[in-house]
Amino acid sequence: MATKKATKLPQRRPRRTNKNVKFGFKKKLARIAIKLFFAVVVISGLGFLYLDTHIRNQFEGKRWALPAKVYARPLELYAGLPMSLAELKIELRGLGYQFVKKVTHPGQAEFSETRAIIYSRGFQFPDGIERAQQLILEFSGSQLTRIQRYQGDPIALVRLEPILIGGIYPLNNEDRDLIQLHDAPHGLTDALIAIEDRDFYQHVGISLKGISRAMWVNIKAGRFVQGGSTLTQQLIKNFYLTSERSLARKLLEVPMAMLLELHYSKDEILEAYLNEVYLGQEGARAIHGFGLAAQYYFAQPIQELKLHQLALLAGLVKGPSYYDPRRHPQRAKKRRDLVLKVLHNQGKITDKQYQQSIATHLGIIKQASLLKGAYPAYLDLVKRQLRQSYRDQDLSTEGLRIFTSLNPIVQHKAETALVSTINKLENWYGNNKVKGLQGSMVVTNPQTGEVMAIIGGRNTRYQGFNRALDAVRPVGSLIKPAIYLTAVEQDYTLASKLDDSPYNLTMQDGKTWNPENFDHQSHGDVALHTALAHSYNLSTVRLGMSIGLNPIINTLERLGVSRPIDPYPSLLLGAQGLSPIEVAAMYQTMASNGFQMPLRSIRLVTDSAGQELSRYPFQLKQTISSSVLHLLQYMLQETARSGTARSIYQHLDPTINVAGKTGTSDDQRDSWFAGFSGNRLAIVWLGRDDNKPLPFTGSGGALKAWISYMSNETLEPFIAPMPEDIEYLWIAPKSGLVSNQTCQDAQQLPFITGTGPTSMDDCVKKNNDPDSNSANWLHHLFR
Amino acid sequence: MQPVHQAPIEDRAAQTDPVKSSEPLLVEPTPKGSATKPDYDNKESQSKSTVPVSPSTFSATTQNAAVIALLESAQHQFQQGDLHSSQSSLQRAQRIAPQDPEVYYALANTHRGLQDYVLAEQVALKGISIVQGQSEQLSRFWNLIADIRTNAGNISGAKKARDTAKRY
Repeated sequence: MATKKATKLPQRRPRRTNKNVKFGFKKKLARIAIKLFFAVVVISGLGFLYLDTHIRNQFEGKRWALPAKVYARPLELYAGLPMSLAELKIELRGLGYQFVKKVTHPGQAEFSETRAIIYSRGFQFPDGIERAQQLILEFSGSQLTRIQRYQGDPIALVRLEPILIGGIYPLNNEDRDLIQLHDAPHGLTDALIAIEDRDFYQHVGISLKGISRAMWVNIKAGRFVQGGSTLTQQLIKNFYLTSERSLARKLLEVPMAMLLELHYSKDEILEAYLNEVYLGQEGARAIHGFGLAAQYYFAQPIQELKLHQLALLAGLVKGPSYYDPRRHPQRAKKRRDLVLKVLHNQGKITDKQYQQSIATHLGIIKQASLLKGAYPAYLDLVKRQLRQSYRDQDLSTEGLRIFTSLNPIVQHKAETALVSTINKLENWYGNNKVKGLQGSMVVTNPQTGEVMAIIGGRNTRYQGFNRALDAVRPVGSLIKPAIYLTAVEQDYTLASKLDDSPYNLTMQDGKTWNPENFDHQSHGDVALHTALAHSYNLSTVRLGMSIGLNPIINTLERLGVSRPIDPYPSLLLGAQGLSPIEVAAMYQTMASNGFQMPLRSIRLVTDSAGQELSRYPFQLKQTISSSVLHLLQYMLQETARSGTARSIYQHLDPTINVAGKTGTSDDQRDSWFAGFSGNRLAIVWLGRDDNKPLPFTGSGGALKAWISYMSNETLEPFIAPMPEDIEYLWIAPKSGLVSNQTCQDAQQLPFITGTGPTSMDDCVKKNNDPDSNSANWLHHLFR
Repeated sequence: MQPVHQAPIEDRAAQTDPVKSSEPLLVEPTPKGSATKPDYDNKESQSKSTVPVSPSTFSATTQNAAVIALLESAQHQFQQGDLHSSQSSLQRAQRIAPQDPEVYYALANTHRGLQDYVLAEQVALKGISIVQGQSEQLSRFWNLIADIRTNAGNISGAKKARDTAKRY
């Protein structure tokens, strides 16, 4: 059997080979083909599955790294608000309101001499919604006297929407303000679809009609003028794929676009597109989405834009750089008009709308007027405070909303005052003496501890060195209130006599310290309150050395200075360096009757949906008794009345009753002023980054900027409530003994009850003498 | 319609402590020689004299309608148990009228509700620093401090505060 088979097989094989080999080869091929086919199907299937999962995950998950949005304080409007019409305009400009003849829409305002009608936009605050409404505001001088709804009743209180002052951006520097489709005006979606993808609502992600139309246009033009990508493909390209132009990317684009269309509605795709698309560049910051583009180009919310503005934005999609309306206005206008023409041709707009729109200017705002980036020094403080509680990544990606206490009106006034004073000083002293003069400023609300404004340098928009926070400079006589406060906490009173004679101190290293008064004079015996008001150095050093350096350092700590301080005698004349914000914290405690308050720049942080994450409430702790602080407040008020800061009342209303202190460091390298009214505490520093001497003192420089700022503010008087253990006594300045009203030069001074002098001045004795009464009566008449 | 993305962020409110942790000074009422009612009228007239530098004692401000509205909201929120909203309303009121003692009274009471007794007492003391010379108000604030101290378990402190309240 085996042989038989063996003989047969070789004979038949050749014939079978011819036929069967072919058959077998085909079969093999078929098998391979089938396998390949299945492999391709499986791989494609897996590929599709992968793509599908990828598309869905990314589309449904967190789509964009959203920068944190930082807001200024919302303006609270109420009858009695100390605010002029001009100040309201500063706020409304910051909000991008249009000033019109007749208010008809949100984001508009009209003005008469004493009245403003505004149509607020409304805002969803974490603690409630303020709705958009038309309001009539009546002013009298620098006060808002009445608010009422348009054709309605008076209102007690309204909050305007807060100004967006900045963002904290992710690494890719993409910035966007998300909008929902229903926020987008029809004019925008119509224009976008008309110019970019007119079959958007018909195709399945790719459009053969679109491709052939584009090819035809390109052939006719003889060059590439139109692409055939649908909005869906563009979204895929920007959202999922890298920007490299490769075949693989092009091949992926089509199935991905179709898959996206399979899963999501046209409206969902369009909404994502509106937020994804790249529309401009500001330095490193990339402007994405129509929501932000509306703010970036027009400083208005997208809902308020007119047809011609929407057409421009839609036109920009093709090439934000090429059609940049700021750099190439002609090109941009041509592009905008083309969009309008297409809309007109498609019957989306009327002849009249078309003619009106093409006749309108582009209406782009100057970049400088955008308030994002206008407050780098303040944002710097906000970021530093935020970083204590939040990770950088969360700040730049989670879309947090940060509500701060920045007051743009205060900031505007402070900037104007500081910059103009620096310019005046340069003109006055000549560029050689004050070359590179710099300055910084901190303004707070002395009652609440909220930081209202910060200036980090004379170039207020510069993002670099923030002098208000980081320039630690010797504070000079600004330190003195701590010394006098310590003294009155001990056995001293305001009437105590201090020795202002020359003083020498031999240091441990054998060197001698010889402090001097500013006028190089000795003033003999001086009353304690006079020594501070006139900022005498000799009496202050003697006083400080007698009460000891450590108690003074303890007082500084209780005033809110947290940096370590060395107990060197030079501390007494302010060799200690502090930054302006530290000085603000210190004087804040003095302004608030001994209650130390952490300076706050942030009120509240919410997530992107408005859910509160953290709040920074009003906090305080009393670290110095109100009574001794009352004594200090008196002396600081005297400084402004008759001391080193007496130039104040050449400019301010005396009833404002401000308190403050000048400061000049060694060799006049730093010029300081710290002072407060009832509603504003402002610290000003002037100096040079190279630390060279200045040709002016604290009162010749920083005080001028302080006065310039304060005289433009609506100030409330500083009211020092009198604690119950304080009594006022008439004191004779020469003897420091008890006097009375009828004596010449007698001054009423506050004392902790029972600590004042008890002996009578000679004048009182004379007045009690019946022989001198007639003469005294005459003297009193002519006082 | 796909809503705009909501970022999943944990609530960090409890971790946020913007206040330095050092203990505040607990202020006791100034010991007076006698428990007689101080002669405020006399003091007021003293400081209203023509002395140029003397600070005023206090200004009795009329309440602003906006502040009244906010105080009413705060009270309503307090009664509803929504103490954080009450705190927000009162801080708005404080920014408008930082010299209004009612704001501090209500705010101190809200912090008492939040069981933040140290801060509650400090806010009440701030109120006291404003109402100097107004006996009824002083008595009211010291009674509030007595309540706060009682809640905090400081019975002897509460008694001292209650005694002080009786002096007015």
